[in-house]
Amino acid sequence: MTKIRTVIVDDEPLARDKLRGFLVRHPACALVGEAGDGLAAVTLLEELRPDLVFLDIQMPELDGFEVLSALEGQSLPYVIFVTAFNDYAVKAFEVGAVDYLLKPVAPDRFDQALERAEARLGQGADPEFTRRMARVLEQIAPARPRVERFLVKERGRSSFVAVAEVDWIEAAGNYLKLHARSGTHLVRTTMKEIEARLDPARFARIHRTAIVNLDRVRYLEPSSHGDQLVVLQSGEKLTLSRRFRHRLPRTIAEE
Amino acid sequence: MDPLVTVTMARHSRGPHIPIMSPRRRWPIALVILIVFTTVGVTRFAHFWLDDLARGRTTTAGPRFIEEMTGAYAGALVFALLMGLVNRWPLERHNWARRLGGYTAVVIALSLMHTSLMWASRVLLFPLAGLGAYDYGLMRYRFPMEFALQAPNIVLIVAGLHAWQFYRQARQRELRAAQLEGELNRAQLGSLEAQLQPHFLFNTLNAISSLMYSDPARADRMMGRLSDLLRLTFQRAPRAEVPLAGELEWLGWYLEIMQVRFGDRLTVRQAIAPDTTALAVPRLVLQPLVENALTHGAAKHAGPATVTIAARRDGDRLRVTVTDDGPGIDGDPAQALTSGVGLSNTAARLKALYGDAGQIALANLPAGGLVVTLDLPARPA
Repeated sequence: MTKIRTVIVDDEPLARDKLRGFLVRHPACALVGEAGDGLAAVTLLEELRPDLVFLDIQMPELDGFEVLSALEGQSLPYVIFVTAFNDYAVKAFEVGAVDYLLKPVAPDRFDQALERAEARLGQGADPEFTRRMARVLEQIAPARPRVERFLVKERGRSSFVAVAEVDWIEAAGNYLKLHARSGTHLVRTTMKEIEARLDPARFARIHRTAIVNLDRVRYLEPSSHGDQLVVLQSGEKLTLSRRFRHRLPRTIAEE
Repeated sequence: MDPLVTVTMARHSRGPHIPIMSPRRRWPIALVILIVFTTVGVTRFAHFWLDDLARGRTTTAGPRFIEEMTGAYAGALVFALLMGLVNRWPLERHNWARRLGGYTAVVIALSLMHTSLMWASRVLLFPLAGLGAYDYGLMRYRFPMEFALQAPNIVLIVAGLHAWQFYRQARQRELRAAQLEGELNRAQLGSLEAQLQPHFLFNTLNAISSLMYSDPARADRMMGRLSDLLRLTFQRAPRAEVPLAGELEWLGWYLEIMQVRFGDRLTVRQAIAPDTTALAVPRLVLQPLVENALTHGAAKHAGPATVTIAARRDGDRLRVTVTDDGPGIDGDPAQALTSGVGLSNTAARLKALYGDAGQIALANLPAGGLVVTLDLPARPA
């Protein structure tokens, strides 16, 4: 019988020690890797494609949710969230996580979560996971920390784009297209989620499919259909729909 | 006693001046006085007129009515004057002896005034009502005769007004005490919140439970440190200010825990000038600053992190800085104080304790990282 290939992700060494100690008592599991921050976790999970991950929610670089959103659909492992405080834990469960463990993790709860994972493992991939994940991320977005940078992946390499680098953000199917000084980058998230997690003093939604960095707005000009155009410093022109007009700060809107 | 309490109580110990009536309620009170004294006049008139009827005198209604109503309204005026008087110069424990003479003069003067008013108004009203000239009799007997009746009434009114005022002040004091207690509790909670962050507590417990498998002695030590910190937060009526040395000791407990949790990633440096350790700082002021440095510096990025705590004295100022080597604050650091990185609470406490003499400032370092500076009056704790 093949073993359950498991990864532990937590930023505190002692927290990893503990989970590792519990895990080695289960012969059905094989610990294949550990990561101490979110970014390392994304690389590790894509490389190893494990069956199961114990994922801490609060971590440096990327939090547990951001790690999952960064993963490609087919490489998603089963997830057991591990968190110190049940602030998002219930929501995390709705994502379709196998279980969630609260710290300090008790051995019996650990075993129980592992049993659940084993039961689920036979069922194969969860096709709804990605969609459910997006919906939950939208719901908890206002309670989560502000986005300061985006994780972008190009040709297998991960890097960060600071929000200040971004001119505007365009909706593109299941992705967002970041128009930045360094070029355009795709990020997997939704307009609704990202709008709630950007500083409203610096970014404004101007259209169903566009969020603009207010620092980059040069002026507004009237367009043919009674709508207006937002002209960026780069020369790009974006449509300002009437529905979102009130979201622009007065200083810009009245010019 | 807790200095915070002393300061606030000193301001309110005598209680604010509580007037018998607030200016806002002047007209309703005047109306009540008018109605009460009208009722007194009418019932007295009814009493004397019915008495006359009983004795077979049938022509006294007019004179009796004018007499009683002028007596009542003059009394109303006397009452209103007494209200103003008691409001302005109340008899209190520390001044009653001095004011007693004044009040005696007032009783005599008001009685004379009352009698004079009755006399004058009747002299005026009797002819107008077609009752002929008014005769009040020999005034050298009238004044003492009315005084004998009015003086006890005036004394009773003065006593009653004082009783009412004391009642209102006591009620106000109770209310104020309840408010104060609320403010204190909030201040206390505010300073504890940072300490009892659930994430801190549960992550630390998790680390301890992990050490129990590998290093029980270390787990025990960490449990001791956590207990020390928890005990601080359970302290009743804590002092608002403590010597910097005490604050650094507590901070050491917190940092010891964080260093165990973060492992090799966290380095803490201290540069404390020896002449600063006895100076006063707000209780538990440093821990939230260091926690902020950790969560926005060390905890945000993987890899090693350094937090530096420094204190120096500049004449009559104490400057304490907490510096991290994280990414600093995106945007205007000054705004972070109001939009809250957990430091707005600190700013509010400094304002409450020192007014403008205590400041907190945030600045991004050119090489990256954030420095938070506390600028406080340098005075011994």
